[in-house]
Amino acid sequence: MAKTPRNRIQKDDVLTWLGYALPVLGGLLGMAYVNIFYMDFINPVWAVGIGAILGWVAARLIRKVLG
Amino acid sequence: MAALDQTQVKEGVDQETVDAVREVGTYKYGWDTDIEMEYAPKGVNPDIVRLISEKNEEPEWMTEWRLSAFERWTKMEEPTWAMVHYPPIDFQDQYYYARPKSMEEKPKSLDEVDPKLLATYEKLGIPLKEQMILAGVEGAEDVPAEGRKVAVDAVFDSVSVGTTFKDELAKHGVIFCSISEAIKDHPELVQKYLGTVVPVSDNFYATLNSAVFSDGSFVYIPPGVRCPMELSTYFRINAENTGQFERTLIIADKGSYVSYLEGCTAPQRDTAQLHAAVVEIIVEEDAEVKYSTVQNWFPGDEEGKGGIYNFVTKRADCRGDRSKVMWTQVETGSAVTWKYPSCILRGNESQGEFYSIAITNNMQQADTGTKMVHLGKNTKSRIVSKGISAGKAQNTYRGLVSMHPKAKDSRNYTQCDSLLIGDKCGAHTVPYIEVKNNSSRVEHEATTSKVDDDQLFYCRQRGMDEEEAVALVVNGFCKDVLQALPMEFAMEAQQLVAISLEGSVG
Repeated sequence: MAKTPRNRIQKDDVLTWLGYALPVLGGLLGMAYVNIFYMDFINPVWAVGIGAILGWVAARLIRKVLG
Repeated sequence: MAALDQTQVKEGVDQETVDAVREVGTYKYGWDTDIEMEYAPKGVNPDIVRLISEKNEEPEWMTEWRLSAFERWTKMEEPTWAMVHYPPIDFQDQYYYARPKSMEEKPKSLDEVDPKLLATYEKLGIPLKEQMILAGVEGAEDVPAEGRKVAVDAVFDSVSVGTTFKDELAKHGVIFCSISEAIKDHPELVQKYLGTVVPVSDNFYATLNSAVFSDGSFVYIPPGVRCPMELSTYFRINAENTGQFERTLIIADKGSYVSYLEGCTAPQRDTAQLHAAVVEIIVEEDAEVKYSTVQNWFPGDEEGKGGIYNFVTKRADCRGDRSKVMWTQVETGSAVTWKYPSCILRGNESQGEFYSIAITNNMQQADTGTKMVHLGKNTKSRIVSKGISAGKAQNTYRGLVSMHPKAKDSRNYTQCDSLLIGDKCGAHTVPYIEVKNNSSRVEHEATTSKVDDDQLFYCRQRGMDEEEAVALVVNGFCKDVLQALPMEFAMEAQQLVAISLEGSVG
């Protein structure tokens, strides 16, 4: 039997999307932090890296709670 | 321009167009105000010092302070280490005090000020009525009354003409007045702070200023107060053969904040004039001061005739922990500039920032930079300097970053970029770095580049003329500094950058 295409976005789709989006968002926030608080002299490589890791951890937690 | 004066104007061309064409390439603020002036006798000696003090109705302690400064000055020698060359200055062949005759009786309010003086500032774009300053802010007339306001202290030759929004500032406890008024009305504050950041014996020009300063601005922000509006001073030299020696004292008490703007212009003359100012800033615990300057003194003509010799000492003392100071300057005018706004980072975790654009064209010379002296622990500083040279100009960046043995874990970042337009100008960088502890970090980046034909060709391909293209490239080069300026100045500065480089290509 042929599968009928899904029209609605399902929870799994959002959770999968979060797994990619939150690390990217975390990295961007890290970059923004470096630019706004430039007098903290934070290495942008660290800020982006830590932001991305925190985003990934947040995505994992959300998936764990909702998944 | 002389050629243009002799040119016969074609029939049908209106006067407005002729005037506009005549104005192109000339200094926009080069006109003078025809006003009756009162001068002190030429030269400087103890009698002149006493006379200036007397004119300002100063107390005895102030006169003594000035006289001791004068005595020191007579024993000092003019510094020659800066990379600037100018004919010897005859300090006895100029006036040290000049004020409009109408200012003999100090006006009690702006309504009493000579209309000619008010018109002068109006023409300069600095209206002295208590209204919002609209510089570059489109549609600002629609801004509600509590919107953007800028309080102005206007200094004309040797005297302060008036200060706006004094009463409104006083409601918040902010004192903003001329320094001559402050000496009379707030002697305890002046006595406590004057000369504590830039001591009388600091350098040749600061000592001269201490002896003969005539007016300037005084600001006191009480603890915990965020100044409700931006404060500004506008300096105008009008009288011929007269030096301007102003003194600015800013005190930001604990937890306060103030943004201060400074602008200056002078008439176009064949003879050089001296401007030797001192700015002292005291920043207490958790306080923050932003000091922005757009310096547009007359730079002299294309052959280097006339112009202002601008010898300025500016220093901020971050006395309290977590105090912050930010210097932003756009230097486009002056025949000779000698100026190093500095930060003494005494308090732990205090921060100093310095952003500078120095543009020199034709025969202008500039030796500018900054000093960041780290004394407290975990102090931070950032220097961004952009130097642009065109014509036969010489532009020098001279900076000191000093980390004291006790300034543990301190940081500094310096970026120093030079841009050359043409093949007859020069850019020089003289950085001094002293690190006396092993936990601090200092970074220095420097670049020197040229506006090359490819860049200009690329812009011209898109319909720009050569001068527009240069202005675009230069504005992009200066972007980091222009962004640090308050909105009132950013627009003006951007236009100034373009105007200052007119005629530098082709």
